[in-house]
Amino acid sequence: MSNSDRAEALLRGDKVDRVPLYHFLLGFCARNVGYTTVDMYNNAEKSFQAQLWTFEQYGIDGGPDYGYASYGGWEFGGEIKMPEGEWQQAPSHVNFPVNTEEDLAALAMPDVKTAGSLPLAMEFSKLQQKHGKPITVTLGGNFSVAGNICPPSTLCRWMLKKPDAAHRILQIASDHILDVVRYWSDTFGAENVIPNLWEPMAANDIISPKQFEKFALPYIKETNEKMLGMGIKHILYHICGEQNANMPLWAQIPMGDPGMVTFGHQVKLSTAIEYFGDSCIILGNVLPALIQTGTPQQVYDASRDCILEAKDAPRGFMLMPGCELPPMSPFFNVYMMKKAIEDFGYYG
Amino acid sequence: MASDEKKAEILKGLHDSVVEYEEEKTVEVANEAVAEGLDAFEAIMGGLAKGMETVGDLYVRQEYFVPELLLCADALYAGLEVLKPHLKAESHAEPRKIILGVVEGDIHDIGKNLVKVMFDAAGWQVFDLGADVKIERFAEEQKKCGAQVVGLSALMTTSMLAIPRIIKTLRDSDSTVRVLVGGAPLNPDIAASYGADGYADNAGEAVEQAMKMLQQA
Amino acid sequence: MGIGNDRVSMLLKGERVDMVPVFPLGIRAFAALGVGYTMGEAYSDGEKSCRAELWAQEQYGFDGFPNFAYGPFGAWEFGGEIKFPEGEFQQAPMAVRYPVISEEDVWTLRVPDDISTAGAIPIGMAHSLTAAAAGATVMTPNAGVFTTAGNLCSVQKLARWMIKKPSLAHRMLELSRDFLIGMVQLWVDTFGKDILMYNAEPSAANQVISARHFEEFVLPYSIEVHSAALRMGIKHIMTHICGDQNLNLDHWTKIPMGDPGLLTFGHEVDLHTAIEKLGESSVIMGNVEPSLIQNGHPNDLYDACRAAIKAGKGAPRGFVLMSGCGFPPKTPPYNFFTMVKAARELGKL
Ligand code: B12
Repeated sequence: MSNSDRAEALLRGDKVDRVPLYHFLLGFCARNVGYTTVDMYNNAEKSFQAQLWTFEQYGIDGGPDYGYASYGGWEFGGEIKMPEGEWQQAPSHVNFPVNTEEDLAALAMPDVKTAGSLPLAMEFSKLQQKHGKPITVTLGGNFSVAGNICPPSTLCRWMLKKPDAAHRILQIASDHILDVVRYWSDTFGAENVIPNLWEPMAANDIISPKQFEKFALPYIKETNEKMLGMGIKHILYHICGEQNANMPLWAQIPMGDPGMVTFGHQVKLSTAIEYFGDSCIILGNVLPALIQTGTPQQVYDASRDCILEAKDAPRGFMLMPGCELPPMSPFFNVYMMKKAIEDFGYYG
Repeated sequence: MASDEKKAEILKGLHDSVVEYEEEKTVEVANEAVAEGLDAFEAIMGGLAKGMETVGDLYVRQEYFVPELLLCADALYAGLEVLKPHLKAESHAEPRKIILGVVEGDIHDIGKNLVKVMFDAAGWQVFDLGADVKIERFAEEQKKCGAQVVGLSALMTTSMLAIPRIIKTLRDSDSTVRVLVGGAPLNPDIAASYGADGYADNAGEAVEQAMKMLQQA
Repeated sequence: MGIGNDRVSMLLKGERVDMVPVFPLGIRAFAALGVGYTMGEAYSDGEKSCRAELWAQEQYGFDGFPNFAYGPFGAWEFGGEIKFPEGEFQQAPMAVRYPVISEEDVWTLRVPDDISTAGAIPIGMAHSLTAAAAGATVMTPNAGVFTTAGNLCSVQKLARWMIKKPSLAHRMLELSRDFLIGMVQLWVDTFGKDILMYNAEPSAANQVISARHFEEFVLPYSIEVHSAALRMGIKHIMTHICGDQNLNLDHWTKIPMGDPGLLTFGHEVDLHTAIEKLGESSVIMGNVEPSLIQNGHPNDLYDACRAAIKAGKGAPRGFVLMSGCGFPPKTPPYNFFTMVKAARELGKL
């Protein structure tokens, strides 16, 4: 089976020969092929090429993706900074479009054809189409987009003191996500588009399950229902960070048939399967820091443990790190994930 | 002078209004403390800061999350604003100073902001450099303000690699400065291998650690 | 213990191979960085650096065997001082104090009494022991006789003496010769005779000395060292004919290399020429330009590999695709992957 076939086979519900390998790894690709990190975020062509090369080298399944966690600020008129220098691994905020309730009242919906990173993302998706790869568009989950339009601390304060403002900004984030997905669907056909949504800000590292229930759940649920209503078949959700207490709530959210849900190391794969195994492909969750700082043997063992724990998930399992692959990971450690698949990931 | 009973009531009022993140109530009780002639230092340490300590516990027990913490901090600051002008000269004695910042390349600043609140509550003078702080800036600012402690925060395995470099520039410019580090990917071993003087797992422990480091110095 | 089973070793045993092997010369710094070790460890820790090479070999699927040689070999062993690489831009050890500074030093300098404890020898030994334990071919860690002599007193001094005070230059080469023979003996005593001797002669390149000086100062001593190694029972000598040595090639044909020898060339020497002059008696290896490996676009690198494979494939004793000199440590991994891929796709035999 060729690399790009495996993920698609799982989405079709077909059998695969072995556990596929999946990664978000823009910064790492830059190092692996000798580009700069900025190239990965502001040059669609180079970003796509570097990923193709790196996927070929490490036997990574699934297609190249474009996106970053701070999505939302730039698109609504804030400023972001592209990564530069030795230590930066992704774009970051310079300022936020919304800081006050007045800003919020005056906030206009962006034109998805021209706003922020979207033209680049569109260029990237056209490359995905041209190369016959799955067409993805990476956005934050509803709560994270809201927390990128205004500072996360503002969103937090509003939830407790000005719930109307919090609801308002979540509604705006939700409408925007739908606008973008609609644009992609119009361009490529809804059945060909897989939205990738990352939700770090709704982690229990930051908000309580009660707050999740009130401010994240209803918006995420409605947005996903509407995307599926448009004809989207599969949604990939990266349920980032500590989300154990949110799991019963996440389980109420439709992800498509099958959906794809990826977890950090904080959520056990067996827990993920319990909540999502019947409806979703499960992806995860080797501790990213271990891949960067552990020994090759530790990475191999951790990968093996993930494979053995989740290999037989009803709708399938894909091995991946618990979040973005740390860009500084030793190359040999990354190879060890594939080696673990070779040794333990085949289906009899 | 307020009676002991009244004093206890005011301190509890300050504590509770911080814990319940009642900003206006905190101001009200703080004004009352001033009117009753309570020692401002005592009101801050025994009322507001104690409240923040309780808040730290609630966070560790997962009863409070970041939103609650932020509002508690707002209440704390509002109370401080009322009480600080009434601090007596001797309690004004040169406060301990700390520089805080998230290292270059890293914008995860929520944790660092909570650490800052705890130092503010404990009466430290905090120089907050924000997030994505260039390596050399820590030493430059330390030279300017003479902080005894520098607190570095990193949330990513990539950005944490900047920490040993920062420590080197700090030591090169002032060999007495103490460095405290924290953030999710770090642990005591990594902190030690980077040459830091201390590590804290959460905001509550951070102040304790800093005090320890100063005593060792 | 002895000669391993990778494709390069198969060529040495006269066996047929299914494809052009890839053997990146001196890959251990690249390999060490690839597993998260420091550049310093690649040189100061024989066991770690060898393990890193073996891991890289597993990851990328290339042939050949670990090798420990490094630039200033000799300086430390004779009592001088070297510095291991540190910081971002250093990529190999360098001599910071030579054992020979004055002319008098030349006459008092002696080959170390106990070679096994001298300088980097224990590190090289740890490296070879690790290789042997893994079943890989073992190779001595030394450089060539002229380069080693240059490492004792600096190449400039050696070059000046060659012209002005030839007796001093000859003395340096004799010391170097005796040291190298002693070292090869130590390796044979430890691992048996089924090992390779290594020789690299960057300092003898025509960028540095003339063919005439090569004839007088490099040729006779090289013949002596190589002959001694062959007499000890070693069957193959791997020699890196580094840099521009076009004017020296006829001299190189006179130096015994074993049967077959293993000769590696920089991009400065045309592979056709190398094969014509030396291909009957040695396996020919070469010669993709290192800076292209580190900085080139993968497609250009692939094309350069194609050209090298095309030029070398028909060599009578076999051809190995290789970097034209020490493999650049900061090479993007995908570029190295591209070299191996090119050999796989274009080098089928
Ligand atoms: C929220 C979040 C975000 C938000 C950040 C918003 C903000 N303004 O801070 C957003 C969405 C913007 C974001 C972006 C990204 N993120 Co993020 N994010 C998180 C998440 C889920 C929670 C972090 C958090 O705020 N925790 C809550 C606070 C209260 O806890 P804390 O920070 O740990 O702080 C406490 C202690 O550590 C300690 N402490 C902290 N600092 C200090 C300092 C001192 C001196 C002391 C003593 C103590 C101390 O006290 C604090 C309070 O108790 C983490 C998951 C995790 N496990 O941490 C990922 C995580 C940090 N992110 C990650 C990644 C990869 C990214 C991106 C690179 C993704 C991308 N490709 O775009 C970008 C980064 C861009 C950049 N240039 O920095 C990874 C990092 C992986 C790695 N390499 O190590 C993590 C770990 C997720 C994971 N599971 O892998 N992210």
